[in-house]
Amino acid sequence: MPRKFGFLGFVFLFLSSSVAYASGDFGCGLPRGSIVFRAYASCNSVPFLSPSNDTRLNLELLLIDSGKLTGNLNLSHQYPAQRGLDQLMVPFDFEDWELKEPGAPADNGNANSAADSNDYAEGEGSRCKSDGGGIAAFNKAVNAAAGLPKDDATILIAARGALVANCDAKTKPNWTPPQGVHSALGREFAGYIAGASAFYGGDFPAALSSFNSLKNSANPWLKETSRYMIGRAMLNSAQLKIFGEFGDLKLENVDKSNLKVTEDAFSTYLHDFPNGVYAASARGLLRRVYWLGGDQTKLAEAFDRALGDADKGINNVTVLELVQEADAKLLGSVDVEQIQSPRFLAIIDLMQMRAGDETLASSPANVSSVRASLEAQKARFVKDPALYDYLLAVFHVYIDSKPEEALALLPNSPGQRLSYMAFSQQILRVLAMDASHQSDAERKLLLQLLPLAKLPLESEQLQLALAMLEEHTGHVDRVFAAGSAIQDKAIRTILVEHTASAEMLRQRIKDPKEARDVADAGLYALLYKELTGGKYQAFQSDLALIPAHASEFLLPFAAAGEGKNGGYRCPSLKDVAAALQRDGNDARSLMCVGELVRLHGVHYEQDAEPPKTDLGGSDSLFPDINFSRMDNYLKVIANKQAEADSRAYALARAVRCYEPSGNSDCGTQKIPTGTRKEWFQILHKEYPDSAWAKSLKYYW
Amino acid sequence: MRRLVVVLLCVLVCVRAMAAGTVDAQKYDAFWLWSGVRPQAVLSQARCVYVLQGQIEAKHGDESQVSFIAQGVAVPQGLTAEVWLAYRVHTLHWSPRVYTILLAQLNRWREAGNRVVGVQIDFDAHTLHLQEYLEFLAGLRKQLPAEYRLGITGLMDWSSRVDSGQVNQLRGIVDEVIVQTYQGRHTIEDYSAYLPRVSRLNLPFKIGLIQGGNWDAPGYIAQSSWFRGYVVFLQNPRAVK
Repeated sequence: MPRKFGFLGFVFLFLSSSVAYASGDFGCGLPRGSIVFRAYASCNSVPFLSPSNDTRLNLELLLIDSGKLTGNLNLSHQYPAQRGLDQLMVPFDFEDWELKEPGAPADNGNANSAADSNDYAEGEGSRCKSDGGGIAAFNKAVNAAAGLPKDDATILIAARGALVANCDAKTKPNWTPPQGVHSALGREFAGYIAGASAFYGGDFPAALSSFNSLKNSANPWLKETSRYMIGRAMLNSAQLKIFGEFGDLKLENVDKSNLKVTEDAFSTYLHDFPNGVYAASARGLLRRVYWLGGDQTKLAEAFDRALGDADKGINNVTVLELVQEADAKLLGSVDVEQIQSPRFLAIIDLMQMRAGDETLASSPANVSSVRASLEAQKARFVKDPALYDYLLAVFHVYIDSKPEEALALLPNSPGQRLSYMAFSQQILRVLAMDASHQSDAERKLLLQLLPLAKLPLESEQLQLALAMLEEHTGHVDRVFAAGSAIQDKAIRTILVEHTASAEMLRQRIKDPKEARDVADAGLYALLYKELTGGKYQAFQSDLALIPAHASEFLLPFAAAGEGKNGGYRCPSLKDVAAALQRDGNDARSLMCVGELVRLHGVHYEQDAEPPKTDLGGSDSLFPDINFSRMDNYLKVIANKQAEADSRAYALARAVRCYEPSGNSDCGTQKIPTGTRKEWFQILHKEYPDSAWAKSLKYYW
Repeated sequence: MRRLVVVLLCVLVCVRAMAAGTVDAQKYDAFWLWSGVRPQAVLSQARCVYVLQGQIEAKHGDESQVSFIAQGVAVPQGLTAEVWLAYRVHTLHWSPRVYTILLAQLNRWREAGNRVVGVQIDFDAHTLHLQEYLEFLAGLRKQLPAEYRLGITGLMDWSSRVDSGQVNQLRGIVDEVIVQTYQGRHTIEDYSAYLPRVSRLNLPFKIGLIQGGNWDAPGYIAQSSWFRGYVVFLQNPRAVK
């Protein structure tokens, strides 16, 4: 459940499992190099129980700990297929989080599956879905019925097969009972078909009367099936009016008295047939009864029971389907007072501790209401006091900023195995130590935890926390020291791009143990910042660091020159740097630095500084000057002594920065349209014969 | 003939709506009804509704398998507005059963007395995948009975990423493209920067707006002979605390 809902239930619920994502809002940008997210952040999911996580993720982490699921990232379906070298593994996009269920049938919910032959989508509701299976079961029962004459059986099977179940049709099919059935048992089966026909046709009173007349049949199939169908017919009566004009839910229109009768019917069925063929269905429909009736106490208990039964082979839904169902039918609109289940209370409390779009979780009103709610729940956690303490600790870290109190609530020692619960407790300690500036203790704890991190994403999370600690306490050199615990390439790449000093970059490039991707990123950062930042001497000597078979994005630095075929001619960047070293205002050289960026772009996120508190956001030891092409164009345009070809080119390029939309892609300078018009006029007046004037027909 | 009249009507509506900077759903007559969004009174005046009905994605755990997950509302009875069934699509590798389910849903909506006119595919077509997407759409077009139209959505920058050859191909496959001026729940800040290119699209296009978002229509949009009006993405009112 992505968004935060009030503790008092809203009157609406979602019919389907997914929530209102706007159309076209696919995809996440790069994850942020941060650990604490206060608002809902499915694009920055974390592998510990967090207010910012999707409720499904928090629930799944708990289910992994109880052995019901395993989880990891699956990056194979990512667009673009190539993962950015500086894309962190943690935080991650919830869409990439993938779960497996030990023992679940491989083709469950699979639209390829031939076994599931109906033409409904996963989760699409219709009582007609059971028609196909119903025919098969009926035929089997008829064939197995002791004492049923063969002729009757033939007629009955044909009649059941002829029944057209179409639950959406406005006009009901015209069904007539089979003729020529003579035995008493045959007539009972015919009565069952009449009930099924009325049921699928939407005449629930008629269906009920048929099924009621069979509930004490001597035939065991008729007896069991009709009792189950009584529940289904009652349930459909109860929900007859709950869909609005647009098919939307209007739960307030549910028929409560029919709902009570339905609950009794299914409970009685389960009492009489605890291992009956419809037991799984009856339990699922009871969840529907609790949902429709707003009985969230029983609903949460039913989910707990079903999740507990998951590995016993008695459910007709998978654990993942139960997670989706719980998310849509319970967590979307929940009254916390009704919930007794510690697991669901925890999920709801975490959601409640989120900051909203416009509200701070730490606003005084929220602090006191969340505290009061947590305090009122204490007795309900009597069987899981550690979970309760964890929630209180989350409150002290995320809401009321009392990290010392959080530390007092959390276990001092991680134990030997970091389940996601144990991991969450220790990460929360890290956050509390961070908030109370206990850097040494925090570092010690992180180093103690790292060897214990065995479950997916735990290590990446710890490495991120340690790297941020080192960076923000001025020890980024430790990240790169020999034997550093931080080997995650994305983390190292980000620090290379944004934080490392020029000397550290040279060490990365020369270190044979450094990953090639990280060394390449370091070389790019070094050369780009030197050339655009006016460190021309260093640039010329560092060019020698480019390896023999360099990555493609490093090649422009080493290229002989550009624009051989009638374009704007540039010498090699080594010559450009040498010329600029002699004369910082050399027009062609200024233009050629611009050409590097225009033709080859800026690689990585080299030109985008992370937020201050994020990884790579501290003051850089080798600052980027935020070079923009427009800076150089402006210098050349202002230099009336510049050689004609370069000044004409600068004017044309500067105008084209605004093509076609009128927005510049050359920098953030605010330049009025009048100035752009002026450039266009100067170009045509002063350099009418230049190729650049001839090819520029408009300004934008 | 009917479609021409509809277009003219829409242009009138659009002109009326042009002045406003904030998207007021009252002034429009075509809407998206997405999952989790509660129907609003404004739907009673709808000429056309795009209703989310499903999400088609690669199955988690096995990329070779497909999930078709139900979305949105139950099948309504006898809506007066024209209905497009919309599908969020994450994978183009559809199994035969995905088509079966989709066609069955179209049938169920029709049998319930609704005027279902088309299928809309909501897919984020990255440049790399555009050609694959076109092939997918051509395949879908063949599977759809002729009486159904086929439409797609596109993000704002989409119009600058397709080349004219692809636009020509698309024109032979889809009946409309809805270009969205929003992402998530908000209008894209620099939406106006993309509009000149959108207006030069040589295929029937609509502009997708988000309820409560921003829209200041430049005159040249309505002057494009390919412009077919607006569709407003409805969203739930924000809870007031």
